[in-house]
Amino acid sequence: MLSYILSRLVALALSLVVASLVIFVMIELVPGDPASFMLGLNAAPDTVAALRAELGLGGSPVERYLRWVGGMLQGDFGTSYTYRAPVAELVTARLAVSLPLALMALLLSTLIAIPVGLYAASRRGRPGDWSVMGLTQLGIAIPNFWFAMILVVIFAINLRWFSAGGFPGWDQGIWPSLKALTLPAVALALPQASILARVMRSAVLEVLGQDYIRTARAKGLSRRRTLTDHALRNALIPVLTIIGLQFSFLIAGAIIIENVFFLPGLGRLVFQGITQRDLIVVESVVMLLVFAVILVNFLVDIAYGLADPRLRRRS
Amino acid sequence: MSPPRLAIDNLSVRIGGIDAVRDVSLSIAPGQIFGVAGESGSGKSMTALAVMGLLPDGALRGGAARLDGEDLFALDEAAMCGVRGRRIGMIFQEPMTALNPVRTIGAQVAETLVIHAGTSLSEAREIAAAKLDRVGLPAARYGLDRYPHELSGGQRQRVMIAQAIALQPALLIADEPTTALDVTTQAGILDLMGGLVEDGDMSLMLITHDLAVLAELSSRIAVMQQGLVVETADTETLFRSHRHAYTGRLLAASSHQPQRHEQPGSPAPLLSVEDLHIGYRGRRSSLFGAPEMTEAVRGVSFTISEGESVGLVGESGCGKSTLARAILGLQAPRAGSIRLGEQAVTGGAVPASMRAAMQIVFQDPYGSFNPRHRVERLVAEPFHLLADAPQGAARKDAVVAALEAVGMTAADADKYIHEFSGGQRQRIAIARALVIRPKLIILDEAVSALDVSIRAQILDLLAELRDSHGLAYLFISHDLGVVTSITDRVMVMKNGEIVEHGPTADVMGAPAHDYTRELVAARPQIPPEWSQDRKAGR
Repeated sequence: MLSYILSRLVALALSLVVASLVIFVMIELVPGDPASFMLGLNAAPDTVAALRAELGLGGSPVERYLRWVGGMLQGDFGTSYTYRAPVAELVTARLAVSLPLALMALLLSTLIAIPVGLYAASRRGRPGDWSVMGLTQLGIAIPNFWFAMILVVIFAINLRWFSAGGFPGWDQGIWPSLKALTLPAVALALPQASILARVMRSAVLEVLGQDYIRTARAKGLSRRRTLTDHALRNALIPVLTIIGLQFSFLIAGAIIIENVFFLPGLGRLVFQGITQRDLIVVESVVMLLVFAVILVNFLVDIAYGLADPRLRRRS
Repeated sequence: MSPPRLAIDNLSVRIGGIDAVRDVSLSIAPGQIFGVAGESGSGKSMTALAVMGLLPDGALRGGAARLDGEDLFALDEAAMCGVRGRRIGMIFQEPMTALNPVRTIGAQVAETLVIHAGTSLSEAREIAAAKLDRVGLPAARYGLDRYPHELSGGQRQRVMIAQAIALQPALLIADEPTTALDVTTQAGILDLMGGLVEDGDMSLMLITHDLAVLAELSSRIAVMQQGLVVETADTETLFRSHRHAYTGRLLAASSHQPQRHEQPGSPAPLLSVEDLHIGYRGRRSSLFGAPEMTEAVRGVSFTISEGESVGLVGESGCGKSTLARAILGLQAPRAGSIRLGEQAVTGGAVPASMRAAMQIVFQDPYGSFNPRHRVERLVAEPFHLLADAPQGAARKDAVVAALEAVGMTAADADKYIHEFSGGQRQRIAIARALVIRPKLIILDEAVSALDVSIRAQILDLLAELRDSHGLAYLFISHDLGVVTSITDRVMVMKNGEIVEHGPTADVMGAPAHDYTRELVAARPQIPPEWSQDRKAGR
């Protein structure tokens, strides 16, 4: 298992190097100079020159790449031109909202999807299965911002259990913050849970057709124990892949939901960075997201290794 | 006579409107090895699954099955769970897939004990270790913490047996337990099962298509055909003087010798292989270390003449298929040479004209066809190797001629491959190989998956085609019987080397090498005097 983790770590480091190179080259390829691009067409030449100096655009591309990567390694992601604040601080503040939100949504979707998928598979072709398939179809089809608004109408406006939006900040206590994230997490989890439940169902069905399931039944295991003791773990392998993809998406892809609930999340930061042409923010946040995706994939790989002994190499 | 251990009375099974099992009655005594013989689709597996209460969803079951007098069909599902694994153990054909890949073998054997006897986990592991020891997998060498993928097929089948007998069931049902195994491994497993029956008074219901296995092991045999038991008799009686015609056909087919004619003159050498070495790159020991090299074929030399049929036998992993790949130019050898006629075969760069002279037929006739193409297109596929391939009507005529040569009809050209049975698919595979008139056909386990009667037909077909088309065959198989019946010369391969080589009758009749002797001895055989009686009686 250790050598397996090590080999995955090497893959992780290599992916990061490649990703940083690709992002750097793409930004380099933007026609014209980043400083004049950011300032627009009507900028005065001396303003552009000043920004060039501020952004550190002098030197060869190799020097600039090394400076950028070196800075990031020390936690220095540059200074945002529009916010006039270090990007690292901006990102940290936004991650404090986006990360818990993504985790809550993921936890919720996994907790719903796995039992539901297992249930549907065990009731294949019967009313229980049809209902699950119908409901998940609906869950995928409903736009999540619409579902979010319905949640607001019911739980914030009519029942007044939750606030309709905004985020109090973690310094106001854990409970109010979690409460503020609940409705957005539910809204985000619905389509994810629907997809995951369908993946889970088909994974379990495939496993149930395997020879070792017949073996387990021949040993005297009941249908239910066969499902929990033999089918579940084998079915988790494709499900883990989807969970990893969903988490990567949830970290930055929650922008619409962030807007519905007025949450200061990472998605809105990127969006604002793009509309303001703040390349420093965009570059750093993109790199950070890439890092998050690669890290999540690494964790999924480790989870594969735990779930499937065939992937570990015995030395 | 003691009351029967298992009595099946008028069992019928109906699946999707088809009668899979009809009015089957049989009775197995305590401590008896009872054989159920039949070809695929005869209902033998369905009979076993019906007894276990494990029929596919939607199957209808009628009749009765009594285990030590208790009617199993009257039990509800919960009670049946208590019977399965505790009073009836069952093992299956597919050792590679019948164990859960994510759980250790110790845990899987212990599971039987934990769910039935409520044994504690540590105690169950101790008993599991003892059972694995009994089936020939001592914990000291194999360990309870191994995963199935770390074991060979034979070892996995032993794990299956260990978990089936963990609670000393009254009855063990073995459904084709050795069909997927090599001869020497098969001999070990059959030996083990025989020994287990002698240990106590367990009965064994042994289901197989292989009559020779039953001749060696069982005391009584039921022969099934299309869901019916056509004949039940003591083993020796059945072989010496069977009453039903189907039994006779089955016996004849299982030891079928195709009619073969001597090839005139001294034919020219077609394929010559000289001092061939083929290696695989293995895993690197460290990130920058050199990869280990595995030698799959080591210094193999032989020739095949035009129109000659040569056998290549050996167990799985001995390098047979690697050798076949190299001959076809699909894999570059590390050293040595392969020549087809005057031309050298260079791996990875075989010109179309040379490829047209060599064709291959694989074991799995379904997996080697694209299911979305019609038979006409499948059979016509090799035409792209020819510069002047026939077009239009001529192409269709050539396809039909090839299909007719293998005993199919022109109408079959418009069908899809799923519409055919296994034997018909293998005929189509041969038609595909024949259509461009190759000089050499490599048959890689081409009849291993077929029922005996179909196998006999295919062997006849191959012998006929050789006479009419002057084909040479390289016949690769782990089945010595088949190789003996169809080849002029045979080569025995072990660990990448050819250890013995000579005329088939000499090698099989008086093997010189230890390994060949082991193979010949391990092969289950119907005692010759039984079949002589049969011939005399006819």
